[in-house]
Amino acid sequence: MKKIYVILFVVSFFLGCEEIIEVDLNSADPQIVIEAKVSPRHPITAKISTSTDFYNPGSNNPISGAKVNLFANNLTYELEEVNPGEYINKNLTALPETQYTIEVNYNNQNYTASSFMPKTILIDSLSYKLEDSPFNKNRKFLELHVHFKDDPDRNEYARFLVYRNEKQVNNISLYDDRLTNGNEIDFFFFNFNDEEFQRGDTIDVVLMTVDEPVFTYLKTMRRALANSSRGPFGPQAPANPISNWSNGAFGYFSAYTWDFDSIILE
Amino acid sequence: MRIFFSLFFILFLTNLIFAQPENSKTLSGFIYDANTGETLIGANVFVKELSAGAASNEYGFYSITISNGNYNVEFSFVGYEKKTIPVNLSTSLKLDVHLDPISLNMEEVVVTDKKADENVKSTEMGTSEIVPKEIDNVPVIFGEKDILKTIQLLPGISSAGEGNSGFIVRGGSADQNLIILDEAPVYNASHLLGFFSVFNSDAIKSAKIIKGISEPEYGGRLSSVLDISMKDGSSKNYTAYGGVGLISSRLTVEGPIVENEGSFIFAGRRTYADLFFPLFGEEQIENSTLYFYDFNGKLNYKLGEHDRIFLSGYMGRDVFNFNKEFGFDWGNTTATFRWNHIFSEKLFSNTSLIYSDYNYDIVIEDAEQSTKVSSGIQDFNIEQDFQYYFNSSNTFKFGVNGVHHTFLPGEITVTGNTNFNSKKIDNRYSLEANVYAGHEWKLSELFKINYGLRFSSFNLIGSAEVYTFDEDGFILNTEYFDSGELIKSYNNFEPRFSANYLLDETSSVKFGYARNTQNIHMLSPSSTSTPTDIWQPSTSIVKPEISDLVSFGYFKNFSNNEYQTSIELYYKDMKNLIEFKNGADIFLNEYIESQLVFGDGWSYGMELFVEKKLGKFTGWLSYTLSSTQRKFADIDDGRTFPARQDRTHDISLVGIYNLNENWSFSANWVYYTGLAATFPSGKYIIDGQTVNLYTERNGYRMPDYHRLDIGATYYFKRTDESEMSLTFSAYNVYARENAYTINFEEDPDDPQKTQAVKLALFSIVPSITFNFRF
Repeated sequence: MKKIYVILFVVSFFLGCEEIIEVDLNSADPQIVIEAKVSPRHPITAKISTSTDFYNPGSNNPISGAKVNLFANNLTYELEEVNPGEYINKNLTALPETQYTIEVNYNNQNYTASSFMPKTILIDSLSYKLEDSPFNKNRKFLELHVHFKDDPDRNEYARFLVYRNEKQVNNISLYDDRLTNGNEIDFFFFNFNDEEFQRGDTIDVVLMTVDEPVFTYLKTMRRALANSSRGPFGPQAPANPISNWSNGAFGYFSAYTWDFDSIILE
Repeated sequence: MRIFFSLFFILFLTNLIFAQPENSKTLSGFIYDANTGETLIGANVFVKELSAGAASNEYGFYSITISNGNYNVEFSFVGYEKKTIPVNLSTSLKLDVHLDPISLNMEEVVVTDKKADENVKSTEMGTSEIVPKEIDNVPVIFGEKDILKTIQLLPGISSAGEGNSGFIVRGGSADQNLIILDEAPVYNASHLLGFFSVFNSDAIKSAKIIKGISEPEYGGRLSSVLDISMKDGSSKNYTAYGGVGLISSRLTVEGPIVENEGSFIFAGRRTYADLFFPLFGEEQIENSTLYFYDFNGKLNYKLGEHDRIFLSGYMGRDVFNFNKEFGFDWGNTTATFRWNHIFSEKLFSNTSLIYSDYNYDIVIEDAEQSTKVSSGIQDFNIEQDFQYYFNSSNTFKFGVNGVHHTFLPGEITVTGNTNFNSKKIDNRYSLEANVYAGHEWKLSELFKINYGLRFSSFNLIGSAEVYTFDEDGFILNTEYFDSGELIKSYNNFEPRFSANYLLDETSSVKFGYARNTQNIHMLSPSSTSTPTDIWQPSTSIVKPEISDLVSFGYFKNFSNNEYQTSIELYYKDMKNLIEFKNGADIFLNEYIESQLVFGDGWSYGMELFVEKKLGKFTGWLSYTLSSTQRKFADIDDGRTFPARQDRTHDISLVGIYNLNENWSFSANWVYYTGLAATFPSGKYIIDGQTVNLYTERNGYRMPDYHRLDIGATYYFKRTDESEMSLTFSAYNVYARENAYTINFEEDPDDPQKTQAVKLALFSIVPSITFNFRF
């Protein structure tokens, strides 16, 4: 995957310099943001907050006192606020191939979202190459391969999380089988935000299988992400991600399944 | 076809209405450059005694019908010595005229070319003609002189991006410009991510940009026509010329096939950035290539008095390959065969067969597997045009053409073991038929009109699978059409009108209106053209784009046409414009129509132009004040928003100073209001990552853009026969860091904080080019 570095090098030949500038930005009204998740290995969680000004240092403003309920198989699970803005319920053992609906009531407004927990894609194996960078002999760079089998009978959507010594080192890495249905997949990573790898590092990979609306959210969120560089072609106008929440809430609700594998670099 | 015959009928009627006196006679022929035998386009013929005039057409042919008698006829063309020939017109006469270029040694003699007032007297509006010779000294980035970059310095035309050859006309988009090279459409006019155009200036005779109010023979794009004519090649001498630059070298040879009967020209250009790859000392880079090349060729031959045939072609390609693992190449091929026939001294005919192709390939391969992605578009076009020079006050044009388009939306071919499946999105086919007629009518000495009508019929045909979608983009229905079966047809009438009223000898007012339609749409993930753009025909879902443009202008020349000025006002309305949905998947998607949203746009403005045409110091100032808006039901809840192309102020200042025989200096300065852009008005955190919150499309502005370029040319030798020179130029001399993008990011040192980071593309870029001609 050195090739990508060379392409970047060729492009950067044309690129001038970067500079931090001050831009006078408007203050949008605070918007409600709900990040809710359920999976077989984790309790039901919901983080509810509001957005802030762009230049505001720090995180979202948490929202306390919301009522949060999850519905599955004709049962209702009420979430309890354990920290300001953080709601949780540990009583559900979530199962794949089930529809989950969650409802948030706050300030006389109702926000609902549904997500279908898909069948898990299982990781077959991990492999990697650890090589010297062509432009800096002191740096190693990692090409990481995740091998799995795509199920020919369903549309599959996945997100990968890659950790180096328990620190997440990838951005939003997504997979869908629109062009790869039914194949043995060799999904590889090569760009880890300038992370410097060393022999002995532990690499953990989580494969989250999600449904299509969550995939769409993640895909469109990737473009709105503050760190997304928009490249040399002149961008299309950025836009807010497509959420699966009703009533204009930001964020998403994901019922996902997951698989995990680990490898030590030698 | 019925329309075609009715046109003939109208022509026949007009013959009756404008019945000519018995004693009228026709003077006709061709106008040539005396040195090269190259035909002159738009040269003027002026009968002094009658104050009647005509101009040569795109093949150098002229025809003027006047009553018999003895006249002094003056032939003139900018940059050439005027010639007055006494003519005894007792019978119709054929007269070929050879004009001498103004010798370099005669520079002190200020030419007071009477016909240099064409800008004031013609009905043409929003039109500029560029001769590569005249832009020789305009400094450009990397020292590659480039017609597409020079036209961006004209009013109403702006660059699609920093250093980019893509251009925007009067609030349109980059795909709304019809770029034709010897009549063949060029679908992707840029090399190397848009930093260079595909047009090698050495092979080009002239280029004409029409900003919307075009004559009815042109059509198919909303915003403009850029009509580029290749040189025919000298029919008198063999000549070679070229240049060596930092980025590329070029060589052109031309000469007679048979003296005065036929000629050829071949021009080639190649970049050589990759020749330096071995210097990296890295095997993978040594095994890589990165270059583009162009080849232009043209042959022409006279078959007797009345016939002439031309064969011209272009082939160019960008090739990028890394270590034989990753390859990406793209390019255009065009070919034009033309047959000029003079039916009578008044009726000129041209028949053309035209081919155009654009495609790209991406290949990823190693020992075990290969994956290839390809896509493209291909046209076959047959065209018949007539020009009928009825008398000195009436000229008619009419014609018909048929085009077969093949769209190859995308294909992925896999061998060996890869992630991907082989897949081909079915080709799309369409048949296009266009019929037009136009009449240029000089109603009086002071008042001239040019009106016409174009009928365009666009037919999408099978074989194809046609989908209908619901609001969320899910397929409702699939219908199959057989090969050749009509799927959808769009018929449009496009009226064109322009009028010129002379206020006095040096000033005029003009008015124009034109409707244009566009049935071939470029789907581009960016604001300018990229190699992987997809061309999409109109379908049941994608409607033809339609524009209506009205324009009003005042033209005035001073000091014997030394200074030419104009001010034009325009309003343009555009319908059925296309944007992508948020999160659209366009790569190899057979359901691409479900990924689009449609809306309207409009643009209005004022364009001011002051040009100094003659003397040691020449140049121009262009200033555009304009507004461009868009309105899409599915963007921003249907609110009106400024288009990315919206630039309130846009100024270009160009100056060229010929100091002496050896030195020439030039400079241009560009300023425009920052582009409309979408910036965040808030932020929130999801999954531990900061996400920007957007409230409105294009609600902010990039910082204003400005830049100064300078150039100096030293001529070692400069005669009519040969020339040797060195050009030094510098782009962005005062190294203004113009914002290319502004990204809103987390502070890498403290992810809790966010910041705006400006990226500037080019600082100062010096270059040097060696040019020769012998």
